Amino acid sequence: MHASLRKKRFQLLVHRYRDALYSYAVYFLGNTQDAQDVVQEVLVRTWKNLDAIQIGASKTWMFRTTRNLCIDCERRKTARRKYTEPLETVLPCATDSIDHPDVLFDQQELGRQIDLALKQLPPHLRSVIILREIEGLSYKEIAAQLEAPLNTVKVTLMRARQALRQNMETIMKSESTP
Amino acid sequence: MKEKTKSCQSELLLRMAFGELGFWQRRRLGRHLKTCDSCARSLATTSRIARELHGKTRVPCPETLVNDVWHKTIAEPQQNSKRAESARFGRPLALALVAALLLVVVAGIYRHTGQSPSSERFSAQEIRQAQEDTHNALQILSRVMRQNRQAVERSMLPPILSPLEKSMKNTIQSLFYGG
Repeated sequence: MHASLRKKRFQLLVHRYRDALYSYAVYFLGNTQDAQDVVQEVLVRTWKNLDAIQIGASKTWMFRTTRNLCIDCERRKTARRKYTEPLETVLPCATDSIDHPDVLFDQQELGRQIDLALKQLPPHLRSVIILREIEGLSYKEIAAQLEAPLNTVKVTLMRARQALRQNMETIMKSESTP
Repeated sequence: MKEKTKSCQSELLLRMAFGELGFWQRRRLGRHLKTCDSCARSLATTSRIARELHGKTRVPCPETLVNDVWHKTIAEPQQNSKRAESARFGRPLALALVAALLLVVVAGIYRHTGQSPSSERFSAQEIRQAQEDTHNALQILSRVMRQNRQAVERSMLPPILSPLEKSMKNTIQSLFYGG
């Protein structure tokens, strides 16, 4: 591929997917520092392998690489696993319309509990739920990314939702008992 | 809804909370929920989770990260290619430049002292040999410059080399051919 075309394609990919990839990594890993490292690595790898990536498959390739690197990163850190940075500190507040402090507190509490429940899910379930519910990918796109049949994705997503609800119930129970 | 098992109901509730049930299934489940408190409570909790999940916004990627990536990807290969180009063309060009400078200096000394290579000081064979050597040197120099024209055009060398080459040609012409 011609150098300038290659450069333009890369710039387009970075511009289009950087926020989605970063967001995915932040929700997956639970902290921004690791997410930055992962996304940087993904973008550098994209540049190196740009000629090998098919034109229509860039998004799938980038998300798959991000997911694999996130899993690697988490494996490396299992020994000193900690939920270091609460996601609320990096997320823009989506509760501007709610004025009452109790409601606001409840909302923030729920958000924190969901982040915690999400973090407790196994990586393959967490990945599917982030892609579907937060990034808004279609079943087809998720299937392409995971290289799995459509029905498998549906079943995995159902399991992920069930596991998330169970985790939430456990967290709520443990926090409500003194 | 009574014929459904507990896990089926749970799955339906989840799908309803995440907005993936069709119209008729929603209606059937709605009828069941009117009479079943536990399912209604479960649906309420799951719906809150789903709403919270869907309400989560995308975290914007920091600009510094993108800048770092530019430096590691697009900027670096350009520097590398410049380095490779200078390594490829720099040596022959530098050699040609040194040879040209030497010739000009030698020719200048002859001119300044008013002495020219003549038959009194050099034999005819020596002069012929010198002429051939100079021709060969000039040919090599021009070939190097022709081959590396792209590199030469992009580099700082043309403003130095072109007048140098011209003056060298003139000097040699006047020295050996009496021009």
